[in-house]
Amino acid sequence: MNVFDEIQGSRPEVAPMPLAERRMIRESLFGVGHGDVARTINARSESGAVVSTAPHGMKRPIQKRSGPAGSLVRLAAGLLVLAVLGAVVWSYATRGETVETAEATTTTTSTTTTTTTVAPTTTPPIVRTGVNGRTPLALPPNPLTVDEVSIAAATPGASSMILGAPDGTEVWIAEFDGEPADPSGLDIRQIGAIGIGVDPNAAEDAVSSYRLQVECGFVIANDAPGQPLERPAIIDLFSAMSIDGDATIDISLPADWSVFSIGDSRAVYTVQFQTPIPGGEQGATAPIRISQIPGGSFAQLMFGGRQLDTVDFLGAPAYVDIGAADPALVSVYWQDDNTVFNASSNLLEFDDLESFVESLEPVAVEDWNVRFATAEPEVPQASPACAPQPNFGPTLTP
Amino acid sequence: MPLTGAAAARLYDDHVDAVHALITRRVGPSASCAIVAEAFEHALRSWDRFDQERGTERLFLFGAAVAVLRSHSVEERRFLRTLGLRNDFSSASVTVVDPLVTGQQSRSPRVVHHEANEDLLGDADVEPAPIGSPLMVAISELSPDDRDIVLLSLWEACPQAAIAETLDLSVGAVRSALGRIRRELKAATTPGKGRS
Repeated sequence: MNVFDEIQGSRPEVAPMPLAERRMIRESLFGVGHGDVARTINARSESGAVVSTAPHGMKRPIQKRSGPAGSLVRLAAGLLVLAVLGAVVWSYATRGETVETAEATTTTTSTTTTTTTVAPTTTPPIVRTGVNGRTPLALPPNPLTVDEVSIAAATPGASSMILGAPDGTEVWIAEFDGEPADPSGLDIRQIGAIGIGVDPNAAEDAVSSYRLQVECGFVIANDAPGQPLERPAIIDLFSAMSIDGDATIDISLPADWSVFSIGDSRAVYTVQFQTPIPGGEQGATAPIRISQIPGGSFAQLMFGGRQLDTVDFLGAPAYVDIGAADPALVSVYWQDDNTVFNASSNLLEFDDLESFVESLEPVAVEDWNVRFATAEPEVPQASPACAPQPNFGPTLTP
Repeated sequence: MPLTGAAAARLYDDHVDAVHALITRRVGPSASCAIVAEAFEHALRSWDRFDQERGTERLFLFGAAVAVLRSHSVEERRFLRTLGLRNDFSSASVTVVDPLVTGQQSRSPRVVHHEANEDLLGDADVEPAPIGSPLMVAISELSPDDRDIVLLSLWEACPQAAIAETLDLSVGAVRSALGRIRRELKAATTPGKGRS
């Protein structure tokens, strides 16, 4: 054999970079705010804009995927980021300020949004994982190698929602408590009762993102990926909003708009396993990442917004992310009982993901902490002195 | 001016896997993470030298990677000398193991190194005896320039012009180096003709 042929033949195959390492380097280079995949929080230091983690993509019908699902690389967008985004956004909202606690005013407005997720279907829920109020989490019964495990604390005073637009796209809106709002760097125009700020320096391919003007904290609205700024439907939505003296934002939803999901921030449980690849070589494994929010909402789980389509998953409706930057990524969202889930992998096929989820067993929070030697994070005591803090109003409650 | 912000993050997202693969092939999975970070830092810092007319972003990053690898030649040589024994790193990375695997529970996940790394690489202060294939041992003993030329060509499939650009050499120099390296490696791995 030619010596060069021999060298080529000895070329080592390298598995995709482990997600944890990829993120660690990324964050050491760019900071936590530059979320993976696509524009999680883009140029927040200049504009404060929070941009969808969902890459651009057009809505299209999705059936079960049959192609191979590839590496875990860009998955981070969605889910890994969840572990830190709440804290990031919170830290932005309170940047440069000291959060007063002991002497904080008691006039801080607590959110009035519902804490339950809007069921997107009238079909009685099928509890695929068997979770319930006592055992709200789901884990595989057999031990697997764990790449990463985390529990992200809830962000006090934060809530989010996803609205369905008449054209089938989704708009993500979130509000965060914080210190006096900083509208610098934004072009602001009044639309109906609400001042709407837009970052004039946003990248051309960035998701259209809006800052709703409030006195304290901040409120953002991210249009669906690929939609132009100030499209008629989003103007209709803003025109239908109201805000009162308590910074309660309400919407008399225009025709054909709907509330897909709404909820307060809750703790997020995330774990990434290496699971055997069905039909793969002996010992071959694939990463699979599962995020779970007991009592949470799809709106929190899909931080920044996603482009979704419905799919049958273990015999019941679920949602797949059809805008992922990595075409091999299979990312499925569903709700069982009062827990919302996301499972994703890009080395497994959709059917493999179903099989894996089907094997999960319900566990209590304490079981999770014993198994992974984790502890419940302390919820930050956020009591900004600024008032009133934004919140979503009762008409949005289902 | 260094490349920063969203453009830098996009560059990282687009190319980190390719850079990671190149570096991992050269130093192994246990050392690659830190070197990948170094390579990106180096590339972003010197981004004003990137010329789109002369090469692609990935090529520029490969250049940064091989430049950084020069300061890790001890690790690289040590790793290449072990390479004949395996050529698949898919399960060789550092992992955290579910405590249930061993029935142990601790306050923090247990970090487990793949056995191959420990057995083959051994103590970091000790240069192991060559245990890999004679060819890989011979490659490990090439000069840094020659090693970069042959591995960029044969492992990363870089054209000669791209290698020349990356290493600041002429295309002719790369071409002739490849011919010379081929002869040297053949001699080094032919019984009775090897270098001492």
